[in-house]
Amino acid sequence: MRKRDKAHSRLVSLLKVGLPLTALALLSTVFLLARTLDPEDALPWATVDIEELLRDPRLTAPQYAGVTEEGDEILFTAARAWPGAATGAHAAEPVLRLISPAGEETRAVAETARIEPTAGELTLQTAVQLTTAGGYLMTTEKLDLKLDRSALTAPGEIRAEAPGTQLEAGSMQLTRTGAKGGEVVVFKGGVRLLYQPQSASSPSAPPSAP
Amino acid sequence: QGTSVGFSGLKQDPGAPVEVTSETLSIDRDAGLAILEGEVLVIQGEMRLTAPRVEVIYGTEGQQIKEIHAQGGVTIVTAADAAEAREARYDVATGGLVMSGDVLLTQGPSTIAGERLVADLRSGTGRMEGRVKTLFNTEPKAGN
Repeated sequence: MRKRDKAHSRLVSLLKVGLPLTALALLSTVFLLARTLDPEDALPWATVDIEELLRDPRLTAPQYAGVTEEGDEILFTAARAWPGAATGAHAAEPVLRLISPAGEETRAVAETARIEPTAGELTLQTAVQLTTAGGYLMTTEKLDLKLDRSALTAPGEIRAEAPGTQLEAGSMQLTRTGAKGGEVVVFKGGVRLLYQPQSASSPSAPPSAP
Repeated sequence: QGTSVGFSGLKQDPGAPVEVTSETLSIDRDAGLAILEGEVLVIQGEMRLTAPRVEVIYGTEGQQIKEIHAQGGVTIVTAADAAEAREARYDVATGGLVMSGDVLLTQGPSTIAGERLVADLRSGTGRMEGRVKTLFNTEPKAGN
């Protein structure tokens, strides 16, 4: 029995030294073989010029909503807006929607806009596209709107198109003074209209209602 | 009494494009009415209509034209005929044209004057009514 005991205790004393050594070795590999951590790309961040952001305060996706005297809802949204020289503000990629209580919508988009809430004025400029409730698509360079009235005015040249109808005029004013609150569009300054009756079968039907 | 009138010149091609020029154009969708004012000129094919004011009346479903009403001294000129009157009313569906008020119709050498001209542009026939006077080979200035 003694010889076996001696062997056993020798084994235990060997393990007492060997095991911790292997533990140490294992532990060290955690640091030696670890991937090289690059602190630089640890935190991804936007490369926006902070100064530029601070220099001119801006609004993203501003919204303006109101109701005109005629009871139409005005919704004005844009991609960005920034304060203008005087009290008003400039906006980029504006979208203007005029929705009548009956749900008919007149919509206008442009490249830029100037809104002047104090004077209650809104002007859309450059590449203005106006789609009326009647289905006319009009393009002009400038569109003015009084924020408390449902009146859109295009002071300059305007082109209007509807199925089978093309029209050019010196200026245009759209109001909602129809009997049932519908649109009344008045073109002034020389009107030239070209109407192509779609189907020969239909009787010669000049301009369709825009 | 009435005189029947040939109107071949006024026969209309409904498919031809219509060109309209005027000073102003106002379109009121609720009333189904478009008003052209200021030297209105309507050209379709060989037909030219001029008047100071033209009203275009739309049908109830809104898109189709029901009637064209020219007022304030209307002249209609086509290849063969020319007609003048104070007022002209053209019903698009039936192709019926009614001109009233000192109507003067010149067809080549002859001139017919009367109070009312009722014509059907489809078939090219018409009838002049009311104190009709027919003048042949008269000097250009002769009127009633």
